[in-house]
Amino acid sequence: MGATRTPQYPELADTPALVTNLLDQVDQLLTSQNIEQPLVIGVHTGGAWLAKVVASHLQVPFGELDITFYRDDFSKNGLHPIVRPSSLPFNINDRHLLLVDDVLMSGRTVRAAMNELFDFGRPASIKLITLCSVNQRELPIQADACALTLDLAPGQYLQLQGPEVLQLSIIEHANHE
Amino acid sequence: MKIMIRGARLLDPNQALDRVADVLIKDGVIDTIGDLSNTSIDTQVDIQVDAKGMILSPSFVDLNTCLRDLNQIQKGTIASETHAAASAGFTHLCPSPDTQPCSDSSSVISLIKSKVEGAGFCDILPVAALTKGLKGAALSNMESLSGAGCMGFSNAGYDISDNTVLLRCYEYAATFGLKVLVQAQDEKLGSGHMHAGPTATRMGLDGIPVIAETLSISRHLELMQHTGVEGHFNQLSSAKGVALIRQAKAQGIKVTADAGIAHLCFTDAKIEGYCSQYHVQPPLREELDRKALVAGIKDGTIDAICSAHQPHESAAKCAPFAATASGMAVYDMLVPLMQILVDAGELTWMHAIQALSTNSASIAKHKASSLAVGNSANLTLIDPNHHWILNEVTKISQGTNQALASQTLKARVKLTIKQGLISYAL
Amino acid sequence: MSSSSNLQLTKDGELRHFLTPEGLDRLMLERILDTADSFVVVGNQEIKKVPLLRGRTVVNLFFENSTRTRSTFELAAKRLSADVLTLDIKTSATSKGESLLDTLQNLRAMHSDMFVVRHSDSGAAHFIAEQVTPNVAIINAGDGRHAHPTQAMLDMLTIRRHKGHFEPLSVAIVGDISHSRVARDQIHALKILGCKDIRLVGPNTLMPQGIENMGVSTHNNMDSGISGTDVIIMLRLQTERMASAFLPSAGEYFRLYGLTTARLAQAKPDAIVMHPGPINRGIEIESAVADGPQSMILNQVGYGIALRMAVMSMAMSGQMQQRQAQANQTSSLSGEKKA
Repeated sequence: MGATRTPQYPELADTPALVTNLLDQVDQLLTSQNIEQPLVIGVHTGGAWLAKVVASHLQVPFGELDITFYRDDFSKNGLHPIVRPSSLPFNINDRHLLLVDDVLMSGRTVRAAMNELFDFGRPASIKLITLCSVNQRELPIQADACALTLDLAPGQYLQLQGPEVLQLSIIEHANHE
Repeated sequence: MKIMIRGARLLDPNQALDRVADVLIKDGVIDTIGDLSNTSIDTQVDIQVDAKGMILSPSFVDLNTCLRDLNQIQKGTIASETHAAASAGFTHLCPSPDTQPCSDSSSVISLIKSKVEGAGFCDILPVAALTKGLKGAALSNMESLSGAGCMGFSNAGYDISDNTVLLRCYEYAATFGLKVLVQAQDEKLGSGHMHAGPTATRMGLDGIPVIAETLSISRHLELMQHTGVEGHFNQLSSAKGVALIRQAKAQGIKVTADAGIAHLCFTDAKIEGYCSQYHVQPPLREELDRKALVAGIKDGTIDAICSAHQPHESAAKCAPFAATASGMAVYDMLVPLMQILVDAGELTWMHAIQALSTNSASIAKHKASSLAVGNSANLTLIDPNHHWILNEVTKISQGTNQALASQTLKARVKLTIKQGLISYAL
Repeated sequence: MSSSSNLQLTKDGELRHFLTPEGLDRLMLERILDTADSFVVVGNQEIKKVPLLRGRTVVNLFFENSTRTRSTFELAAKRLSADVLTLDIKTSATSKGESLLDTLQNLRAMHSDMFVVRHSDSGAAHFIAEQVTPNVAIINAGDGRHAHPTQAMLDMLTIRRHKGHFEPLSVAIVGDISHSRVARDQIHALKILGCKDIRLVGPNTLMPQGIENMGVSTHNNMDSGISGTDVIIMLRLQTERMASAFLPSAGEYFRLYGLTTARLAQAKPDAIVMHPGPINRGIEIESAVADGPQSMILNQVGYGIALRMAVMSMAMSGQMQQRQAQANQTSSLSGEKKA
């Protein structure tokens, strides 16, 4: 389980620059799509930190989503030991949503998050915002805004640390999905 | 038939005998006791046992047991259960009258007797029903049943709540000098499933309070004293119960008592986890009660130890606790349980033999066997150092309700001799 | 201490049955409450349903009538997307000579994943868990007078959501302690969660022997019993207690132990009042209190569904992990054979 950082991706070191880049992309996306006053929703845990940054940049409300109850690996891995309540302090019906996650990898988290969102209501649209995309998609899901795209070696995973200072780093798990 | 038992430790409380010697049994009687190592009879004996380190004592008499059979062959047969009794060192049994049908007539008694004789493992001194159908209303034909060989009368686990009936039962029994045996537990207070105490409270099981026993003992003692009937209490369970018997004996009331081996060894803590194998009646109580029962054996307040053997089929114990049948199949565990008490320093084998043999025989009005030359050879040979595992293969009782099943036990009966013949050999 | 605790956990210490809080540790009870908190949110969603137990079969086995408990378990299972089968067995099948064990074996053959069991015998859920382990999760929905863990835990959820921490709280449990399966589990749960002052209030006829051994104090007087408490839990009084000589009359009981507005003033001003329901107005509790601002009785019902969803998903999760471990073991064994 020992996590080791690898120096081979120097872009990761300057995470604040990636965040700035992402916020620029979000601004462009909203302008080009004519979206005003979106609601920002972050996926626990890293996505929620990032969502807070995005929401304060846009000066719009934000909510948090815990997707534990919507995961597709319950039969395999059981219930995640730590479950936090989802908190959407607004009505999402007919609103434009920015769904924020720190890292987009297989796409399964986003699938679960969208399913959960539809149990809260019927949004007008959902845009996917992610800091970093790893080329290991298992579902047909792509980000609408993304600061960095990476290829990782087997056993390597990206992780966002926070919440005060956001820092992306690579961790290696010998034995993980 | 000649049997030679060499080098055993002979224990006989009757004559305060405790010494190592050889014993020769010939034609049903004890022929010689002493150092026979130089005698050249080896060639002439049929069976010779090297019994170094073993204990040879007068055989055991069981004051309370259930042999099932008749309409309960799914639980055990007379053949299987008397065999199991012989394997626990017993030669004489006083089966409880709560058979199905119950032992309230000479015909049932003689049927049971003939089956026991046919099996050949033990002799019986039956206890007959005190009231017809054990219903607590009409007297059984006590005098005739006594004539049919019954040693005493009991209403088994069925309390006679009507004092008028109980008084007449005792007056009638006293008229003919018959013995009554009592399982003292008030019916209504005894309607629970385990000892009333913290464990029952925590587990949410209906409790049987100690007063269910003490109220009943007091009532029976009053009536025994009033009628002069000879009384015996089966299966005491509580410290307060022991105290009442001690007090009655001090007052000169003609009364004796026994305790089941399970009550000397276990407490209600064993029921933790709803273990139905420890569901017994009367219930296992607390450590202070268990200690008082052991002390009662030691000081003679409790005269005898009985097996309270009650074999069941596995389904009878496979249900939520309250829905399971009470009772434990004890025979396969009796000697190892006794050994546990001996190893713990709570009792000696001399106490055990006094309670299992000498005293129980005299309560059963059976001439106590004695380890003396010229006496009929009713003997039990125990190997206290034999380690074995109690399981499907080693158990002899048909009952599956052995609380210690699949455990490694210490001590086992090596040989049981009834009237000079081997009724059980390991 | 209790063998139930071994039975309830997988080798890795995950919940796989929920029979009683007794023997579980504080961390586990807190995890149950945390998970339940998340399910409270699900209950506020427009679609009050999550796909967690999709394709799993939950069988509600009710050997004893209880419309309330049964319906909350049914709703909880449905909100988890499980397939739910409810069997009102009462005693009909068993009185026809079918033993509990036979009933269970039949149900197991239907490949159920979870049994929610209500039975009038103490230890019934424990017995069933022993018999059907390893492949079916058992949730105890009340066994005799022994345990009713989901009710006790929903009470803990209610207390935690309104009072925060358990350590400083004084909790009074009032009424028929003797016959209450809820009271025992409440005591266990409160103790495990750190509550130090637990008072039982009632007459001696309703106070079971040796209950003090569970680390509680007993009080015959209602006023002193609830004096200064933060939480008052009223227990339901069955009317048959009067017929069986435990109590003289409902009137006398209410006069001595009924919770009235005047009595409630003895407790802390912000004390909360709870009751597992259904309430007997004018016997245990005055209507003004039951419907008053300090009453949590209706909140409890809502939390009950969330709590049951939490326990069901956690126990199912434990079973899943256990099955996965078994499957891994089997495949590694067969792998060894090949090699």
